[in-house]
Amino acid sequence: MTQSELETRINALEDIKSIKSLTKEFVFLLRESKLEEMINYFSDNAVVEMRSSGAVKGKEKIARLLKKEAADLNNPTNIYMLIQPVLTVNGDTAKAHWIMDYFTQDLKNLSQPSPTYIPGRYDCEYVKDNGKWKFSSLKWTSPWPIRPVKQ
Amino acid sequence: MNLEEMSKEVQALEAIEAIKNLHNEYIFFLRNQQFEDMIPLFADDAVLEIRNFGPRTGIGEISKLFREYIPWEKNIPRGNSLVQPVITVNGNTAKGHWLLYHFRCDYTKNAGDGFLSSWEQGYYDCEYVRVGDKWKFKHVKFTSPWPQEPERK
Repeated sequence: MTQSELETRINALEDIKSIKSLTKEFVFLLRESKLEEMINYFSDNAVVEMRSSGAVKGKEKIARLLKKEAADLNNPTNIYMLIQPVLTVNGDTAKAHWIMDYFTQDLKNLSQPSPTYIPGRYDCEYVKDNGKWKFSSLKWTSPWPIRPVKQ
Repeated sequence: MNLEEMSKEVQALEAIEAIKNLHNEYIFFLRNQQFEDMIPLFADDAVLEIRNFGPRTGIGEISKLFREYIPWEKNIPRGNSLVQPVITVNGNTAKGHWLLYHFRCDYTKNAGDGFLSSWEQGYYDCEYVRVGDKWKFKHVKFTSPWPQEPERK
């Protein structure tokens, strides 16, 4: 491996690390409703779809959607689990899918056996924008996979 | 560190990322019951041991196990979540162990989410091999529940 090849491959490993950190940090910020910070994680023409929201394009619409999502998810008993990335980098773009599960319970009715498990996935595309990785697309499908209702 | 040593380090880090992708994808397929997609992730002479099914050697036997496993797996609605990899690479082979959490649900309310009825922790103990430019499973042993209850005297 030449010096130049080595540098290219080290850069690719650094890209993987940056993209994983970006996605994890996004979920931290979503949980804390830090909307102004979150919006900087998206490229100008990014597309976002969260659960049943439908797809929205552009930072202004994304900001409105994330505000609503953050409010909906703001239950202190909720647990969000972002794990299991399958990530491929191709130059200045990248793709990944992750498991994004959450657990929730009804705070008004804690005496009932209500903890609910909602499996889901993130499908993401990323772009390197002025040296920083950003989301160009983020889709949260939840529930995933769909299981049949027990009769 | 000279150029050759640095190259080896980089190759090992790339291998770790590739192996994580392999095993994470395997669990995506498992969760979505894409059993046929799981088979090409094994080397031709791989060994697979799942719970108490006993070891199966070679792609043919592994395929048969997945086809036998499908009816059993489909009756247990649950999520599978793979975490905590410890991976060591040695040239074209590697070893890894992971935890797998099962979340079992009672799907009587909605189609996609259900009341969490129980959970179980499992353990993957794996060997991986590089075949061409791809990493594959060489030996997979899945134990669940893990750790197993010690024998009572």
